[in-house]
Amino acid sequence: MGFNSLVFIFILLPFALLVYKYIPKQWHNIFLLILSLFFYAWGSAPALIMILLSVGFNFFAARGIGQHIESGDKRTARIQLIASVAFDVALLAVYKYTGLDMPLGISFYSFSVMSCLFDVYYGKTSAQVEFFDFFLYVMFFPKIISGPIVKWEDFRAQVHNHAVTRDGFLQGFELFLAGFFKKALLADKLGVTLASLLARPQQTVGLAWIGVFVYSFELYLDFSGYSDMAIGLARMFGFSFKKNFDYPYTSESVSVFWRRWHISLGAWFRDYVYIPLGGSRCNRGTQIRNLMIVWVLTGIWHGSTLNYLIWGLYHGSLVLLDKFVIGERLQKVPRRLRILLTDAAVFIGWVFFFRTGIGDAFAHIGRLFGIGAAGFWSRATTFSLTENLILLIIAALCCSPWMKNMHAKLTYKKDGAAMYISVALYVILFVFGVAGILGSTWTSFMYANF
Amino acid sequence: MKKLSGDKINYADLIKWIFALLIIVLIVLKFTGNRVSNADFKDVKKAVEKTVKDDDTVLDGDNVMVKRLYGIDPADYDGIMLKYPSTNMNVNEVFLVKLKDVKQQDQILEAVEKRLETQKNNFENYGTNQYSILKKSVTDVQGNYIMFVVNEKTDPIVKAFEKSLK
Repeated sequence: MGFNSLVFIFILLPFALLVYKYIPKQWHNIFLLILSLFFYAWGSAPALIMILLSVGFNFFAARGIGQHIESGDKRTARIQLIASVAFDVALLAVYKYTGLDMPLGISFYSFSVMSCLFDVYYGKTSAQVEFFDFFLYVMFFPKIISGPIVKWEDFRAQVHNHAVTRDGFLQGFELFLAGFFKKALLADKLGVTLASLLARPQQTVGLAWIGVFVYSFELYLDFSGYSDMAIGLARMFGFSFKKNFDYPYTSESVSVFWRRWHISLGAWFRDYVYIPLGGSRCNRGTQIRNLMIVWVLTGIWHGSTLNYLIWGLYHGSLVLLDKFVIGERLQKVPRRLRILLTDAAVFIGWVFFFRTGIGDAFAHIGRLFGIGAAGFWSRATTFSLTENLILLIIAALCCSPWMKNMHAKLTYKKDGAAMYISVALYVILFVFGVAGILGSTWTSFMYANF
Repeated sequence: MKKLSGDKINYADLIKWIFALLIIVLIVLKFTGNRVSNADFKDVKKAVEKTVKDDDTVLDGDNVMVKRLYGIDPADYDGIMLKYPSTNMNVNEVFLVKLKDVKQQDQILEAVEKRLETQKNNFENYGTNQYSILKKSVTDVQGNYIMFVVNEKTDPIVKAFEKSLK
């Protein structure tokens, strides 16, 4: 059951919110845990056994590390940390690279549990990890399937200190609706469009570029839509998570792009891999090595095929280029042009995601520049563009802050009528979103497959 | 949890590895049970077909026949092969499916169960021999591959199927 399913939207969520509102506060976390277990089991009951064992393993790992730290035995704590993290990584690798049916959300919850081990070891949080808090942290239903990868120290600070306020609830609901709109109305439609574009026999340069644009918008709207829904849901239950996307397609460089795309994953690699390796406080050679390690890991985190490894190396190289070679010179280039160049580099990289084989990916990239393409443009290309133009324009607007700013400008004036317009807009988005999922087959979120 | 230091046993560390052991056992069980195969459908089909090539009691079924007998749309799967009974008096059958996703297992198993039930009802009262063959039918689930076989001797077909997945 995804957040975009009718059962979730019309049955589970209203039921959960109602129960949550009327049960005593001391029961809130227990209810959230039961709800989360039910949500996970609905999606994949057999995988529940694996995640429960993983919770057991990592809870005792965290307790053990905490006890060694408290008793001043840092060396044993370090050995236990390395052994436990190695076990978690090996488990993730076994699932990702051997073809076994992956437990739902394993890429995300594995990183969550490792964050707890690191936070305890580095003393970012108390060495004493409570079982119930940890269990809820791993299972918490808004984030378990596809993140955001909330760090243990951030979750722990809220687990006994979260309250539903009227403003918080409304902000969460608004975010949930916005995410639902992005997913159900835009991303799913773009997905259908992409499938038909890739199936066309005559792939011109124009068609190859349209495909790249369609997928780039789809991926952003799908994953940021999911993240909005997840963060919005958490907010509706009183938890506050940091944003996972910050309009990445308006970034002026690839380095900035990666501070705005899947922020929680980037922060995880920064805090638990890049900085412990020495980060930027070392010579240039070591910095380059550290960055490439992070990018190789980021690539293979996304999937087991060569495409993802090459995609990771591609982005690692772009970041190095930006940091050490052309970054300063690019500052002299007009801002809009820098954004365009960044988007072009990022969009080309996504080809490795939507073309399944490495040969297919390079063939598509070749076609973008005329190599192996069936001409530059054709009547079918014009048809494909005009048929999807409105969808592409709306998608592009939703990838920028323009839509949000315009909505804020139009509706958050002081007079009451504007507020009613805002509410009406959200109701319309919701109705169209529901109509969208009723009129098509249910599709899972793209990042749930990584 | 008792706090321990020095050379005393840390129970948290110990329990942790017990959980690790349980995880390893679960993984091993998964490997031996429901592993997704990367074998090409054409190769698997060829291997299974070899075992029934001289069997004149079966005919090649097309997509229409798959829909008719199993009520599923072949387009939803990565590959489908059907060898169905050549006459109303035969029951020999091979139905091989490569799933797009292991989550499709239930749909296929349900379709196979219905098909078997229908055949059993057809022969229960007058076709003792056919009924006994139907009772020996095998439904072999191997991750993303499922094969349903009705035959007097299912062993060679099943062995060829499983061998082709490795």
